[in-house]
Amino acid sequence: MTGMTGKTDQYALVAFLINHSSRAKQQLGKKALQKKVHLIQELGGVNAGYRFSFYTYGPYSVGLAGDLHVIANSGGAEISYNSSDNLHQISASKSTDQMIKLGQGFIEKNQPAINKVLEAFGNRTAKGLELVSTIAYLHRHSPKEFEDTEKLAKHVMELKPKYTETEVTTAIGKVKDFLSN
Amino acid sequence: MSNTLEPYEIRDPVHGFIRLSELEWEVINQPVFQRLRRIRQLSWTDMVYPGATHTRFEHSIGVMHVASRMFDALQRRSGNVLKADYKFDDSSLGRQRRIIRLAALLHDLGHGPFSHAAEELMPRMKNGTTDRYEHEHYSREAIKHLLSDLIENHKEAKNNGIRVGDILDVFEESPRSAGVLVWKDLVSGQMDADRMDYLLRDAHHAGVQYGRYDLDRVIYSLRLCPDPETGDHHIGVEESGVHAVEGLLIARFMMFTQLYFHKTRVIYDYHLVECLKELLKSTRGVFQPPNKIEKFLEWDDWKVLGLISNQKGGDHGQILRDRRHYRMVFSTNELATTDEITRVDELRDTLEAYKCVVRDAEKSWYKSGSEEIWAWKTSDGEGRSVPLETLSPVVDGLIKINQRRIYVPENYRSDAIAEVQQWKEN
Repeated sequence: MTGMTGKTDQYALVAFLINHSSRAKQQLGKKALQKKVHLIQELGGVNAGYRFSFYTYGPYSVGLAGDLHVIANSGGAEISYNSSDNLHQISASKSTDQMIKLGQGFIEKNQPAINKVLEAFGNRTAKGLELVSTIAYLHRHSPKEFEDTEKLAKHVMELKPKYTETEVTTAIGKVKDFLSN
Repeated sequence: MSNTLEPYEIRDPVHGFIRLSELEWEVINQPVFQRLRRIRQLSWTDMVYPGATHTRFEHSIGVMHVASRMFDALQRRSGNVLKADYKFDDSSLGRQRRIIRLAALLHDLGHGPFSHAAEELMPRMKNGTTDRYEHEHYSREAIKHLLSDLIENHKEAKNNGIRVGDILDVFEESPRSAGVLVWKDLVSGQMDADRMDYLLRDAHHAGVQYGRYDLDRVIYSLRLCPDPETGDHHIGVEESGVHAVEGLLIARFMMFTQLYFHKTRVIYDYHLVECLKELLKSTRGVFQPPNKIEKFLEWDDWKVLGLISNQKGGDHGQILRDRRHYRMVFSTNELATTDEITRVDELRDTLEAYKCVVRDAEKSWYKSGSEEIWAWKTSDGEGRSVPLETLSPVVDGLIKINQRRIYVPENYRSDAIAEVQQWKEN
């Protein structure tokens, strides 16, 4: 983990991820954004300064939800509701680049780690990200269990019965590979 | 619930009579719970609202009461989901209700003196982050070490197969199963029993009307709503309860602006923290970690007030005694733009010589908005979860407050204001 992160650095990271998804023409919902930041923090080792708690919908940071609101209100992101998909879609707006510039130093310093996480997991759906994010959460909070793939898989499936055993063990393998490289 | 199962009662100023089981009654009578009578709910808010001297003791009992009412409402409306997706049956739901009540009752056991402000002086966790311990970590240790024997040997717990681990699991950082997680929202979620109680209670004691909303209607409307992005469940509301939840969220917004982030109230958190640093010199300005729970619990408001009274609290202790708080010399708008935030940093550098202090709404223990709450909308016989704000222009319009304010000691006030004025003109 790197040093303490300021508010403008946090805004810059969120804006960076919004920009990244918009450029890649990926849909970005509120849950997907939460999971991406969580993975960048937990697997990428970037100290984004967010505190995540675990809920039915996986790791979630109230502080991050608030920051997204502030960024959107300041013109740094567009949040629109798509009623046919029943989802909020977050996209870049005219001030997103300006928001990134506020934390340019932070982004530049952490860009290799951010890109590595996005390359490995960034294309997943919200549901797919939630699974990886759950595994990453247990990596921090149950480190001993993390070493034993069988026990870890059992715990993940107890927390998230909606995933199949194959999905869980495959995702655990990907997270472990990521951490060992 | 019959009187045989809940034979005790306490008269609560907000909820009226609250009934208690034998085990709950015995837990309340333990010294570790009685300590909550000596932890004020709203710190030094009485410097602004003199009536706000209530404690965590009555709030904890209130949260237990609200949590079990929420539980009953969810069981009534979403019992089928609980049984199909979370493998509950009638018997395990009855057991879970008792667990939730105990978890809600005990969730605040680990608060330091004067509640949240003391959390700034909890030591950092040794988990590779810069995070500090929070009161929940201390609550867990207090339950484990000081209440395990009583709870696990009590016939009520034995008869229902309740272990202390079941209670801890409700606010554990790394819970064990989905069946537990679905209840975590009740104690610490987007729309939880904690907030539902404290808004009404804080408003009652402070003597303000802002925090009032229709609790009965909100609870009556609760249901589990699946998240369309992930399929997992949140505690949400029936469409018919949307206006009642609007009332709750407006109450929360108003309480934040008028009370929790009141310009004078927040500077007292700063004075308290500085005073506590002085009082905690022997432990390097921080409290003992959770594994020294009994040492930590020796700290309560009475101890701090006694030390301040004996002139041990340094300059900030004196400020607290005499109500000579730092004065606000600059504030951003309630919704500060990123440009304003950058400019506050510049101004803070300019006012450094005046020992200025910045208070930031985003760092407040109380939050002003931005939750995702789901409503269950039915049309043509089909139901689906939709974000609350899509049904409520009022909720959609509630802003997240990120105001920042700058304060200086009373004797620098005029000079600092002149400096701010000059800075604004440049």
